[in-house]
Amino acid sequence: MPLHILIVDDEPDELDAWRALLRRKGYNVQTASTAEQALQKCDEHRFDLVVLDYVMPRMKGLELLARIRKKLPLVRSILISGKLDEKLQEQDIRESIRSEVEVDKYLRKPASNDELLGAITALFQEKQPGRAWDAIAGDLLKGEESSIKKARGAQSKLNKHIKKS
Amino acid sequence: MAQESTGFYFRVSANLLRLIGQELVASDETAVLELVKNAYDSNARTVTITIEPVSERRVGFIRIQDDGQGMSRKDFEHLFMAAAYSERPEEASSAKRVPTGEKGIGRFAASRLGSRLTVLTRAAVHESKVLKIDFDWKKFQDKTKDFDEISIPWEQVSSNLLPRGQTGTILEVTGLHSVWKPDRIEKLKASLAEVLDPFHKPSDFKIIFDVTGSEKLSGPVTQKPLTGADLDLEFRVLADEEVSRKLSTGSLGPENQREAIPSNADTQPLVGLTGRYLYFLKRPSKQKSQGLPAGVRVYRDGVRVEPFGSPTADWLGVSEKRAKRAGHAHVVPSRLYGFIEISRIKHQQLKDTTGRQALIDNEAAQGLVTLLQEQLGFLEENIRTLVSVPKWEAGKQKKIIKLERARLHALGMLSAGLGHELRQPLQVIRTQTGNIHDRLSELNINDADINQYEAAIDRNIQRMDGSIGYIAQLAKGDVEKVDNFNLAEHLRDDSRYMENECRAKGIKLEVNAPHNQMARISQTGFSIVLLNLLKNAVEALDELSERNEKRISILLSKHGLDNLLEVTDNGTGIDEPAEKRLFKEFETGKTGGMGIGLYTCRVIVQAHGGEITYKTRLGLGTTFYVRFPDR
Repeated sequence: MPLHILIVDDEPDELDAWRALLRRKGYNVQTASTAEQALQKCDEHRFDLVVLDYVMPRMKGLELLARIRKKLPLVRSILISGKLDEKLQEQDIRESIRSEVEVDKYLRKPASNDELLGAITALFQEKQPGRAWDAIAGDLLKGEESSIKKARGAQSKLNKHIKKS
Repeated sequence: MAQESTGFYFRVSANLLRLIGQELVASDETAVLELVKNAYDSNARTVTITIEPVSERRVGFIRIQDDGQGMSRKDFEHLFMAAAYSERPEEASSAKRVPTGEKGIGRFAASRLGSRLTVLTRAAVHESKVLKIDFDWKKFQDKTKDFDEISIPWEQVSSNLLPRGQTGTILEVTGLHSVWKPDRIEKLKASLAEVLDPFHKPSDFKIIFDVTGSEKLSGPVTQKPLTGADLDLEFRVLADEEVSRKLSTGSLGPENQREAIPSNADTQPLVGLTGRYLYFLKRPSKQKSQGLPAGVRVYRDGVRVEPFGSPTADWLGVSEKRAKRAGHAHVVPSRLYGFIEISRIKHQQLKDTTGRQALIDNEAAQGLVTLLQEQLGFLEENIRTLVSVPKWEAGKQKKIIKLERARLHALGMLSAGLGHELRQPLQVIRTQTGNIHDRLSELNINDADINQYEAAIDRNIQRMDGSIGYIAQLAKGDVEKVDNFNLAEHLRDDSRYMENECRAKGIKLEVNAPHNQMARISQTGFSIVLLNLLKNAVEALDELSERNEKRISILLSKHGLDNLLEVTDNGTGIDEPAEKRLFKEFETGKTGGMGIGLYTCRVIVQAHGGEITYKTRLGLGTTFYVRFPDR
């Protein structure tokens, strides 16, 4: 079974480019250019992975991810942003916001095709475990409102990281 | 028929007294000062001012008692009772003192202080009684009466205050108009102290305070000497008419020797004169100035000659010079204090004007002004050399810093949104280039040229990305922020960042820094400067052939508040055309540079009030020197 991947980005050219890349590599790809569209797609498909742009109009990537997790608690995630820079300590950020919203992998724009494909492969290696149970349980037990609130908190934490780096 | 008079006469209303006493005498302090000056003029050696402030228990009075020559009945009638008349009969012959008083109105000053004045005076030692005169100033409020229509009662009495065998005058003011609170008395003491020379106390004149109920306010009045002047110039006119002088500059400069120099002034009438200029590079604190206003004062035998040194008397032309030369005159009037000592015995030619203000404008007085201006010129020269950065220069520097900060800010604003904006299209280009590659493979096209084109596209995407990252760093604005941190440690961290690149290129990177070096500068700003200099050094070594040994050394040190950074490479050096555009914006001799590296370094360093310089030798290498002062 090929992996089901949802790409969310408000730039149609970026969506096109990534969809072409991932489809060529044999993945089952859906795209969404707005958060609403993304949530709707999540009702229709069971995705293994969402690839999100960090900055989108109306709803930021982390909040969208929190909302998606309400529908698909097992889904893995890659956050891509043009605001992150080289020196950013990915591990630190991931740890610092993990309890609010868990992002599996950060990529900075412009990411090469190899970087994106490599990240996906790494997440879904045969022996690689899925999301940790405590994280899944956390997402499941939290009410929708509180999840969103936490995601927004994580958003501002991440913004601080970006400013500091 | 009424007889016609031959002319008109002024009729003087008694109310004139109110005008003189209250309008001409500016304050209660001045009023007391006037009365003390009268005492000095009467050759008193001691003046005692007794103040009993009005309170529930006390009626209150101010008593000014002197041990001067006193007044006989005749003296009183001709001196005290003649308004605006100030000559003392014996003055012309035996000028023991040069009067300090003003225009014979001092006595009316008493009316400002209280409604009644009692005068007790004795002029002859053998006289057993004292002359007692009572003034009731209220009587003078009658506008319908003439001055001379009001009679002042007098009598001969015995008084404990002025025992037999003693001459002098006592002025006792009662019905006080003011409540004499301690701070007011303090102020009065300070204004009386100003009459006395802080460095040479008069040997034959003192003022004593006796405030009922306050030991703190009682006691002799003294003017404390000033302390902490940055420049202290002492000078005196020697018998051979040369001027001997010694300048002390404390911690500012080396110890100066005393020297004797000729003067352009005719110093013969000034022999024995001493003077002292104190100059503060910053406006002195009250503690240093002892509350004394700035100015060059003249003291005769320890007692001040007015108006020299008063704020309105620019008698040496200091303010005028400053006004004319704007920022180029170095003596700021508000920081200059002068104490000029003259003696009535040695300097008889320095006579007072009949108005008793200032000196008669004769040759001796002109000589004094010339001499003082010469010494002032010497002082100014020294101020100029001591203050390495003159004010206008510092002002210019400040403007540069301000300008560079504004530039930095603008650069940040501009690039804030730019980074994110540019990375979106870069992402598309990069992904699609990869897709083209994949598609070509699908079509079984494997062409070396196409692969090369692709690689070039990707390389340039990365280069653009690097530039964006660099600009984005500036955009964060913290190059303006001041951090307090261990710069030595930070430097080692930053150079580690470059270490990999250096190792890959066969460059030996040496870091020489103290274990700890605390700094108060922008951390990001410093990093940007350091990384730029390192990048340049690496690039300079790139041009070197593989056979050469490649070295970059970093040296960090601290001198006072200055953090000094040196980055040296043994690369190709900078040739002349490159030097010309070195610090210019968007100009570069390098293939693959934006030409903003050194430019931003300069902006950042100058925004910090520091500077960046370099030494280069073609074929041997380059050293960049950066001075990053603590903020």
